[in-house]
Amino acid sequence: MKKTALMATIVLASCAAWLLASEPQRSPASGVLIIKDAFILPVSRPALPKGSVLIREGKIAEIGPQVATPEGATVIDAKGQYVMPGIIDCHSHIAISGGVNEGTLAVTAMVGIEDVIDPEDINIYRSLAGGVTTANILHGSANPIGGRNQVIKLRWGKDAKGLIFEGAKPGIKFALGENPKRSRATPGTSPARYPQTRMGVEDVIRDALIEARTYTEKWDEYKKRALAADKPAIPPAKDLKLETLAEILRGERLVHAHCYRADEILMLLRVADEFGFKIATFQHVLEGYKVAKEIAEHGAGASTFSDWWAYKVEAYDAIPYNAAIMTRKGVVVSINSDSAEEARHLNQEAAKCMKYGGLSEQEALALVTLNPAKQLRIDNRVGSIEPGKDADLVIYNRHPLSVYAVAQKVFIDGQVYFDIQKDLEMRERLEKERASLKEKDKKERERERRPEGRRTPPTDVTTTAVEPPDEP
Amino acid sequence: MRFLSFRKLFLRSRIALILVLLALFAAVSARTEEPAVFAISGARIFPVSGAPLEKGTVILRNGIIEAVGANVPIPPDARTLDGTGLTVYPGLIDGLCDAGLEEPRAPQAPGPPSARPGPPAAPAQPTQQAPAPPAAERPLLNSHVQAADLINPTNRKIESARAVGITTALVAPRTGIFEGQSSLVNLSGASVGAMVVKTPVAMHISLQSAGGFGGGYPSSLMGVVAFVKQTFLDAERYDVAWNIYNVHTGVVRPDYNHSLQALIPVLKRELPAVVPGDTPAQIQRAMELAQSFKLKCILSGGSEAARIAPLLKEKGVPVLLSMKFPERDRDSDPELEEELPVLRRRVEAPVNAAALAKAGVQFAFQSGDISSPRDFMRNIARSVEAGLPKDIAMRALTLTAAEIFGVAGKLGSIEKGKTANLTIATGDIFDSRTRVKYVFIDGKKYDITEPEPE
Amino acid sequence: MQRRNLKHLPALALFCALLGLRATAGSPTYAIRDAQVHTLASSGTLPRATVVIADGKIAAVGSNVKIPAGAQIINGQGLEVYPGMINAWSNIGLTEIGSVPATNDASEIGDYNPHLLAFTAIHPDSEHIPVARANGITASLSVPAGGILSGQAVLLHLDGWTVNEMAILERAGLVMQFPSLSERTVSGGGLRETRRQTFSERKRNYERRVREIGDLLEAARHYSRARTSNPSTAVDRKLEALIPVVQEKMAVFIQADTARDIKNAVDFARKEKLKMVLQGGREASRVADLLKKENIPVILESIVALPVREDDPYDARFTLPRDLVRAGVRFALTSPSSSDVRNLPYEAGFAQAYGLSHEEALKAVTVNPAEILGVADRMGKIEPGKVADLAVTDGDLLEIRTQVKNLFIAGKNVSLETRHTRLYQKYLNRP
Repeated sequence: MKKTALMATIVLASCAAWLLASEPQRSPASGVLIIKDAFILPVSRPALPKGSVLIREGKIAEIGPQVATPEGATVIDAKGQYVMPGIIDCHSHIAISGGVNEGTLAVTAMVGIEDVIDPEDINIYRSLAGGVTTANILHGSANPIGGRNQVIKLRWGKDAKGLIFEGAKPGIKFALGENPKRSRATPGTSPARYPQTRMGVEDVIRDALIEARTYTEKWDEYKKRALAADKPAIPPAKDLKLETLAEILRGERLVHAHCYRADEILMLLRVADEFGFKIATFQHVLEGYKVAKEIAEHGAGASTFSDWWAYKVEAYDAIPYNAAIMTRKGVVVSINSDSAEEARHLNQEAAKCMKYGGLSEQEALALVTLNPAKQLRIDNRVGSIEPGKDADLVIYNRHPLSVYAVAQKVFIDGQVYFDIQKDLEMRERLEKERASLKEKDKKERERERRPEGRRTPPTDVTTTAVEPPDEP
Repeated sequence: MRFLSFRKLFLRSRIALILVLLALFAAVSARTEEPAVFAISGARIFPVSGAPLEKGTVILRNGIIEAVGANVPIPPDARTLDGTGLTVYPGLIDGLCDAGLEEPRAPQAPGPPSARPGPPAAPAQPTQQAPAPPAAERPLLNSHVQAADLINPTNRKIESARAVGITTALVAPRTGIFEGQSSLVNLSGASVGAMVVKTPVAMHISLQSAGGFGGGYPSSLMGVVAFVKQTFLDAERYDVAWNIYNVHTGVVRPDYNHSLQALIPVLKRELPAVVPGDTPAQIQRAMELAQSFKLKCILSGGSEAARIAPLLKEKGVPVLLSMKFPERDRDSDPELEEELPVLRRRVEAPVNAAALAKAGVQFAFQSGDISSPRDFMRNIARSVEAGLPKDIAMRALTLTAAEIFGVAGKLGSIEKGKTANLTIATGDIFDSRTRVKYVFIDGKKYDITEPEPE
Repeated sequence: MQRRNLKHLPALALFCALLGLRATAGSPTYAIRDAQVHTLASSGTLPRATVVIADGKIAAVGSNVKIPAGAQIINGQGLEVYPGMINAWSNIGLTEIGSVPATNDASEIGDYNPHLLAFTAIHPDSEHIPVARANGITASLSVPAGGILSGQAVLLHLDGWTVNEMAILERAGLVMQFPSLSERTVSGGGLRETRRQTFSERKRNYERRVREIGDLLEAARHYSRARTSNPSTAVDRKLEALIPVVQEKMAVFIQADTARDIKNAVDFARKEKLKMVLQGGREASRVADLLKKENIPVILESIVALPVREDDPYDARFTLPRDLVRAGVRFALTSPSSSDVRNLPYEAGFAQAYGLSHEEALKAVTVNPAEILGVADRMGKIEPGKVADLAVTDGDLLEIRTQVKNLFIAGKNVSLETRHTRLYQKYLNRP
């Protein structure tokens, strides 16, 4: 597990240091903050070459070319800098402890990322430094139906609960194609598991959904009987897996389906239509461009990579024009990272969709902000710079679609969670802490060595029960 | 196992028979033995429950403390132990260990891997070996297993724990996710029957995971959490179903299941659940899990618990604090610069207990998977050097532990009427030069001998 | 074939020159007019100039250049001309689909294979090649992997009907995976049996490996003398392959990442008198002074990468080029993964964002790799006489949004069509 390395604020060789190690210093939530004279990219509407954003109590209060500075407001002069909404990574596996996959079964809807959030994963901070403020933390793709996902805000320094994006609609991971059918499992390392084909993948999903439907019926029936009957009935067993699946059928849980090939995308659309629910997002969806029309008709989103391809057979037809084609055909598209590294430059990955397929700046930026927000049903809260939305913002030194852009400050709920200047100061502090810890360690070891110190006693000590001695 | 030959079965049952006879014999001989009356006089006494006595006397009779004080007359039938120059403490309690159990205990919490300098050539953790035939469909569910039934009184670890002054230990089974129920035992090495102070004490849950693949379900941590939740849900329903069956006629009888049955006292808060956690995230995860079923919760591990002390204090969760401190590999790269968090965890380990004490968190010490009881005591001493007040350290080793385990009326202090468990040392127990000279367990005296110093 | 018996560098160079000529004979003459030309040579950036390409070479560059009769003219107004980028490390042409072993030819079994040539296994019709060049990359080193002496790298033009036409240097250098003292996990079968080696174990392995390599080089020296004094000495192809190495004629790309491994590799190379190029160099900035002092150039692995240590600064890898520039160490930036070669300009772009000047960033993917690979006489800059490897763009070469409009490889105006553009056109037009 990863630990807080970077945000240590106090460098005392004491528990106080431990306690405070992960608490970043930042402005109070109730503060009023104004980012002035920046090039503003609201995403929901055209860029504002020079304007200000007013933040009040963690929310965006006002945006425009002329915003009055309220008395007492903290002023951030962003002249020559660029402000855009915080990046939303629609496919991430950071901040998970104890395994990304529960890969032992074909259906693991009973497990959930919300139970295993690791708030001290250093990749949270690294992503934050790349402008990411919200991430959709997904179970892996080892099984046709995986675990529940959790949308988080990268509030580095908070505990697991503090990261959770309150009110984000719950979801679940599905996976189609090579991964769930275990195409790359080394023989002998893990037991063969059904399914091994795309036919089997469909079968497993269909089976699970039927089981969930039956489960719901059983409970409905029990509730009806329990109300009517004079004697109590034993309730059916509560099953965490089927509870989760039943939520999908009721439309209460979003399906995020890992997929590659056009055929499997169509397969899942058919299954979803048949069971009467919608797919929220197709993830990766590298052949989405081949069936963009069908995806758009269903109303599913597509969350894809900018330009990864050829790492496996089902990725051989992947093209960097995927996002552009799908966008043109009416699909809500996002670009995701699926990688702690890639997450640090999603803005630049989005720029690739201008190069490949000619999206506009606004369309490109939407791929990593407003569109993923829509896909995760959190666009009422985040994804664009609009009054009333959460003040999740990034300030860049250059246009964020430029390869040269470096995030300078990152805000979540109006609070600074990353500041490039503070980061440099922190490096010095951490070096000092290291030096002091090493010194302490050295002293401790010297003491261990001194004969009068804590000498390890002889090991072959024996104890014996002694009978009372004879009285003299 | 399932295909034992008749011959093996025969041999096995014969061995079992002999063991049973031996145990019976031991039990009978222990009972018939006349308990001694002891007077320890002229010693420095730390009753823990009260102020220390610079020179006092403790009288033990029939395994019970009969009197303690500065001017207590020595009964004529007592054998006197001259305590001059010695210090008398209540018998020390190890808050969780494997004394009496044969196999090494699997680590409790899936701690930070870098914090656990893996022993070279460490084999795969035996996480799925069940001591007893487990519940058919859930090999990881051993909630019905009780430590007292697994203890071998002749196990060498009992003796080595006694050698550092430990007279009592909480022993818990250690396989599966629901590991089973712990027993508090006096380390007398007599029969199990004579050793047990209280059983069951708590239900022990492990959140160890294999990382997602390999083995059966559950393999990831999220799978383990789901498994625990589902099992408690099953136990709740099991309870409901039997209640309905017992009260009403015409109801189909539910199946009996010893593992679920064993969880009902846990759900009813009659038996606390011991859950593992070292980092704040692990601790919160474990506590939330317990809270979601409204369990009475005890935390085990807690090596970074100081960072979350206010929460532990607020929720009143006691801690069985691990004294296993991270260490550098013996055969590690001399040029390796430890990553800061690793360095921090290692160097700051002794500060943890002091900070918990300061925050007012209730804790006892556990040796957990420390292989040598000497290291256990040594690390407590290091915690004292790092600022843990001695009286709190001593209380953690005695009365607080007794309180956490619900036996404060019997153990943990030198008071009239309490069990005659004493640890007698040549001086301050937290001083490295001090040696334990005697321990008394249930009034029985054990001499701690050691070779002549070089 | 005659080629097989070449073992001396002069002959090799001559051969390559011949190859170059053969590849370009009869190609038309081009003139790119009125473009901004980034020569990366002494003439710097010319705001409005003409580049003339003839016989596969750059015939002329300047603002007052006479356009030869019959030249095909490209209107460069609003366009920019850069030297084609050179990717100094990759497995392009040796792999097609990562997860399909049948398509992978980069890694052979065995620890010591100095005689194996990446040249042998290059697949000229790999779909990765057009994809890479379409973004302005005109040449790439392609290297074997595996074992300790993995084989010899090939420097390729990313165009050609056959590998013979593509090869710039058939034997561009020996690839050596230097034994590491740093920690690696050893997998003993299943996932759960992964364990760490103790330091003593690592040290023993390390010392044994280093001894083995030293012995092999010593054997090669001995063999070389024996072959010279007695030509009838039986041929040993492994030792034969090492002769240019021990004669300091062939570069050795020594892979090492941690500071200590790099130090050890440098010591080893000095002792064995190897013409060392460091490859990898994750912690090169920590030993920058040594690299500077020993004049060892570095081929960096991708810098768009996560920090290695948890307590490293978040931008530790991005700032590595800046630190090397400050220390005066020569280096090339690379995008090593075959399918990712097209992203080479962004390696340079990131390096610039985190501290390089624009010129330094451009050079890190043009001039520097040409120098490090020993082809600076032919490649890396826009100068008369250089091979005409050029990218004509509508903007800054390193910017993501920039489009490559024309690409010249050895004077040939190369198609920018790829598997991706074909699929794009096909499905964009799906009704």
